[in-house]
Amino acid sequence: MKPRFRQAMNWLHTWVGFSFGWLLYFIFITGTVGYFDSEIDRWMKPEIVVENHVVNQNELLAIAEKELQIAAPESPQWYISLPASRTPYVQIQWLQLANEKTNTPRDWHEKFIDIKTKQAKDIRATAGGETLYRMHYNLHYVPKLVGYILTSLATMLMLIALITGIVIHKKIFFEFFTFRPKKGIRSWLDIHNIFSVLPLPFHLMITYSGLLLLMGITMSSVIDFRYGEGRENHRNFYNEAQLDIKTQKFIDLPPETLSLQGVLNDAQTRYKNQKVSYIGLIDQDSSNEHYEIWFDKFEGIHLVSKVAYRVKNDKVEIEISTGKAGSAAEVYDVFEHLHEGLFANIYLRWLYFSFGLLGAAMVATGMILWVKKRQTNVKSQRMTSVISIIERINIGVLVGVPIAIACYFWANRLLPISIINRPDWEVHCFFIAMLVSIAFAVCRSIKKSWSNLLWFTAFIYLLIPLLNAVTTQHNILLSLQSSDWLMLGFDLSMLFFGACFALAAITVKEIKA
Amino acid sequence: MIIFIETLLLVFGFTLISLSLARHYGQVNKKRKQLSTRLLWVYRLSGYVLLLAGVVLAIYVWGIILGLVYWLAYATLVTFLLSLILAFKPNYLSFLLLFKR
Amino acid sequence: MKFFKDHANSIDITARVLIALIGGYILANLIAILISYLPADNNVDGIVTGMMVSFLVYTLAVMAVFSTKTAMRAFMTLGSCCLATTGLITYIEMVVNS
Repeated sequence: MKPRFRQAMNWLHTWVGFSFGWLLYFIFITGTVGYFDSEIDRWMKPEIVVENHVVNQNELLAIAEKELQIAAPESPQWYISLPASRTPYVQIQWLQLANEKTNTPRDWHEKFIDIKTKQAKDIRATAGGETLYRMHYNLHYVPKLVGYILTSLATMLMLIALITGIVIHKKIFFEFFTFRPKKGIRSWLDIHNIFSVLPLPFHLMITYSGLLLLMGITMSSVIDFRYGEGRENHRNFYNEAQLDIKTQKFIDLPPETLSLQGVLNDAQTRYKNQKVSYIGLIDQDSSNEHYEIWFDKFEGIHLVSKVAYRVKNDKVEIEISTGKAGSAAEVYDVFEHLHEGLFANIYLRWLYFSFGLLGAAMVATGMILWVKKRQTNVKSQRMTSVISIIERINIGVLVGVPIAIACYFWANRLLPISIINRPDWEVHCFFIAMLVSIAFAVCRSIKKSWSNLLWFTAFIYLLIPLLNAVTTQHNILLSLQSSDWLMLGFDLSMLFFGACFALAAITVKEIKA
Repeated sequence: MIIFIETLLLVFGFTLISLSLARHYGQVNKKRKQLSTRLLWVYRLSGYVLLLAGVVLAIYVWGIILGLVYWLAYATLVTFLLSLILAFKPNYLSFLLLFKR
Repeated sequence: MKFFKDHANSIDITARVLIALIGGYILANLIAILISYLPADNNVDGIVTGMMVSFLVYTLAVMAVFSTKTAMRAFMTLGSCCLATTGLITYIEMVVNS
């Protein structure tokens, strides 16, 4: 390879990585946290009653149907989710159509059922795990479109940084396992290589699939040119591209028994070794009325698609989807599932999570390297102060994002239940915490701010289980007793992360000493 | 059980490959820093054979996509831990120095 | 002229950044459209293929822009690629429509 080419790629790698580094770090962390979105959701809604035992499903459906009948009799889409491993509770969801008279937008609503009291339970208003995970592609405060385009641009630069990184790494095989500690900038480069090269398959997959997920927006001119312009055309394009191959058959089930209970019972006898995760009633009282059964099982990485029940010519017909219609759509589907990782069991999910953190660590070490390299050959006084400011902001962002997430959890427990726009305020707390830690890092001396901020982070993470015990009726022992695994897992994870940050704080002190 | 076998294949595969690299061989074998060409190829080939066996097993058990996902995920985990061991406690791997000669 | 001489380096870099960001995007779109004409399973699958490949095109285009000797040459290379694909697309459209 020509040395000039490698030099050019080196330059490109440096600046492409640096320009969107902080945004990429934010995306990596919030996206990684999203792998545990329903677990976080359960923690942020402590009122949910967990149901680990097998319940009488007919009774449960009756309660859910009654609650849906009260809450949304005219909704076109009802869903009832049954207890599953990641969501061990009963939840009802419905789609509220936009109503111009009362000025309500089209939106999804949800309620949780307490089986013991046979009623829906009031849950605190919270932004939950979903908002936290959505931040990684909509950036929350900016308009959706701007968020999508900014994150896509950052992802595009990430892909370029990865490819140029491979090109400029001279000894990618010979230094595959190499980490030489306590050697200054050499060590930083080694650790940056380890964080990038070892999980490289994950990094490439997550970056490329991230681009694919938003390609309908970023490359929309292709659809405009080849399919048609405008909203309507784009929606038709998506529907056509996502089309499933479907097979239908008639079954001998009396049409008049087609109800939530009837459908569930039939599905459970027909597919004995699969667990139903939720049931939907779509377009009720219309010509298209049908029921959907979704299974809590994956075939490879694909969700075993739904089974739809409907009445046709006075007979009951079931419809099963078997794969995508087009082969490119199939590839897209694989990438989408790989990105979301919904198929992953608990072990693979933790691996996904740790690789996401390695990605964040890759960006973080890259940013630190950028600063260190520039410090060694500064030319002017002005450059020194610019680099010093960047170094300070860098510390603020790198530690600030974990602090912000912890504050998001704290806000969930400490904000008054009755406050208006409570979910919004939780998110405000997230960003305020981040800004404050950046401001702190800018004011404090560089030597001190690393350890100050890291100790603070360790402290607030370690206190989360205690906070949970004080403000709710959940604590580690009680969760263990009532086999509330999600609550227990969350509290223990917080202790673990707190310990990690404390370790990091000690290590930082040793490096400086 | 299969995941255990898979992990074992990956651990030994990557460790053998790491020993075929002069720097890491020197870290593990303090007495003989030099690695003979014959030994290098013994380590390298046996390492790659184990890794290949891991891929075949994973694809056979879980299918192409999920098999590759599992293999790559565990490979990343194993190599990451291995690089930490090589950096801080390389003598943990000295039991693999079959030919002390 | 003195201004250009003094800031030759930063002008070169700014030009390359612009060529890479905008030119790369245009080329990625054009190649995606070109690929979408290839025979596919149904009338949208080709478009999906094109859009999926376009990101790789963008990556290569950006790398190419920064590896040439001068910004001018980068502009010429990318420009001629864009012109060639536009020409091909126009030709295909003419054939399809006639």
